[in-house]
Amino acid sequence: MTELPAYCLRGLRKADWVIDQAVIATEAFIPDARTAKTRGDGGKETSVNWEDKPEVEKFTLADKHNAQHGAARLATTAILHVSSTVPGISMPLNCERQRLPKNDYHGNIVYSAKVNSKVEKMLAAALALRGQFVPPSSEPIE
Amino acid sequence: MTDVGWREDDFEECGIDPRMFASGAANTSIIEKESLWNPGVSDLICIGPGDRIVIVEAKLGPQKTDKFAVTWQHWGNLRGADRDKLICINWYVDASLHDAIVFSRALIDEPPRQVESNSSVSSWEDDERQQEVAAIHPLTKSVYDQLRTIPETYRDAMTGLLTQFASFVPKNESSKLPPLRLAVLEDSSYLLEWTFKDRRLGFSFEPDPKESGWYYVYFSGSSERYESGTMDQLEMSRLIEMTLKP
Repeated sequence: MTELPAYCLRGLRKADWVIDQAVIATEAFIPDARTAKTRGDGGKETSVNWEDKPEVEKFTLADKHNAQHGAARLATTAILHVSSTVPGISMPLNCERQRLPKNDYHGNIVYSAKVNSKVEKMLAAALALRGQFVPPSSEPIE
Repeated sequence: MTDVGWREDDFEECGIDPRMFASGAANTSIIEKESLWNPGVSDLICIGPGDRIVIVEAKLGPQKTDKFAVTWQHWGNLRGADRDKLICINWYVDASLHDAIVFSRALIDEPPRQVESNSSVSSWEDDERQQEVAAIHPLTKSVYDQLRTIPETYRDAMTGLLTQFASFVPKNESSKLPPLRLAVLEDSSYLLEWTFKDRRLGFSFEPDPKESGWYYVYFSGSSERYESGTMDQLEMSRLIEMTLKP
């Protein structure tokens, strides 16, 4: 988990992932269970863009498939802090970069395979609680 | 003096039908146990005239004779009782001269035993009334209305939880509180959450009910708290109290 910037952006692709245009819903950070089958470690991924430079916000919000309703900005230190603080399980969260063909910023918050469903929701809630809402872009889709 | 919280099992172990003490009234579930011989006045539980379970104000310093187990002041009247009618006190006097069952509440009247056959009906009616509370409570009404659209396997569990939740949040304190939210997750599970800006109390309902559970998270500046558990570990009253704490 090297060379990660201070923040990441999680696209909000559903309207109810933001409450009252201010509070990030827990659902926005619940990982995709399907990803566990494709990973060697059995972890589950919540997809993010690492904010390597200021332009990443605009890049992220321009992706109307994944960020139609804005984004949640989350500090990398917050992810690690939550991971090291939650009781009963050691470091349940990890961060990784996973570049895609058209997205150099892409990466994941990875929920450990040892995380059960209750702790998974608690972790998602803890991350959402620390997320800051970034309003959607009003610019037309390119 | 020894203070002990008494539960239904304790009565059974003592050979006393727990339904006589724990049915019907919520405030009969925990009983304190005190020394009968401490000076002063206390409340005793016993079976009184007409086989009614009554709480009597006992003068501590009872007399034990061949005919009378105890002398007590019953609603202001100094009365004596035959041993045969004082089943509970008789048992305790025989078992231990130093202990009596003492309620922490002033006065509780239980119905006569012959009407206990109707208790299941009363319980059912109580459940119905509680569900009605969840249906109209400002914090649960919206989610309650959505329940009819979700699979039955989840519906029963959620109805129970909403009912419990509604019973612990007074309606008159709800006007400034956010309502519960229901989210259908992509893995077909359901999430009920009470969402505040700095804290969340959530309940997840999984396809395997054993995996269902609750969580509480709080974060404000340098202060934070995380808790989670299974549904059988759910302490709704404590969690709601914690969530409402300023």
